[in-house]
Amino acid sequence: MTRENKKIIAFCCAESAYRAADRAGRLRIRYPDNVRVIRIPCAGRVSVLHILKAFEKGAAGVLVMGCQEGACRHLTGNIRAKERVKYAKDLLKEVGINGQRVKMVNFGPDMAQKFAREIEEMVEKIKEEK
Amino acid sequence: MIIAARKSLEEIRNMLSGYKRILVVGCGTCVTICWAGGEKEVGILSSQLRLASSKDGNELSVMEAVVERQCEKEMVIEELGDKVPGVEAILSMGCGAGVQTMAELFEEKPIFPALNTTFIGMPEKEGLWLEMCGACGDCFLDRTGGICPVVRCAKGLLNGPCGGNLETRCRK
Repeated sequence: MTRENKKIIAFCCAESAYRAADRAGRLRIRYPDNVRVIRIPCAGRVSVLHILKAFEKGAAGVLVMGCQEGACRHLTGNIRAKERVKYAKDLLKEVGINGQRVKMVNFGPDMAQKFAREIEEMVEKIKEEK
Repeated sequence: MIIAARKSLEEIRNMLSGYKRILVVGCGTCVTICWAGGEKEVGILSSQLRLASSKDGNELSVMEAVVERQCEKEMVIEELGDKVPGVEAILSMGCGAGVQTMAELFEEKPIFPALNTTFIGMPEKEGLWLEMCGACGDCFLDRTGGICPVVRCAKGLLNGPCGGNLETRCRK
């Protein structure tokens, strides 16, 4: 990936997706370098405003990465995040930004390959739109 | 509690066309509770306005503020007194009373409503509000067992049931 590529913000739950990202690093799995990983205590911490602000500051895509359904340490954080992402999609559509640029993904802490794949998919989606 | 719902972004942007510096003002009382015009909603709308204008290539400076009660002059002046002179227009996320209070206080600035004030209601469960009062100014709830037949009747009838009854009771 070149430096010209726009940034993708990945909000990663410390219990699952952040560990998966860490594991991807340790396993030397390559993934696009325009992703910025933000460690959060739970996907439920991400609010609609965080997502909108990311786009406002120039992000091309936002990924909210939380635990698998039923596995949230805080019980409902990932479910809340899913609903918020759905709401954010509607708000972005109203503005004229494709709702597909924001996505909720569920992870287990050992899913390093999936982490890399999701980022690659988002990069591809953004490229297609240009 | 006064219930309101936000207007569409398109409608709001049409009202604001031509203005470059605006102040979005929320209200911390009724409309905060019904998720229409509180601090969070002010942030969301401001963010949407900035995103939409930058997408169209227009410059738009959006300031944000929240007044504890937008229908009280003292609170509005205390919170907005120093912010208003620097903007061209104000977008109020308060109920109709809030918008009019601001219009009276800041005569020289155009005030636009971002919400549609709908009714006086009660929260039934999360995200659901029921219309309970029509603010008619002639309360007779003492004679109707604490139920307002006018507002809570689909047809707004005082002496129901109407022709659409089922075994002498309202179908509703």
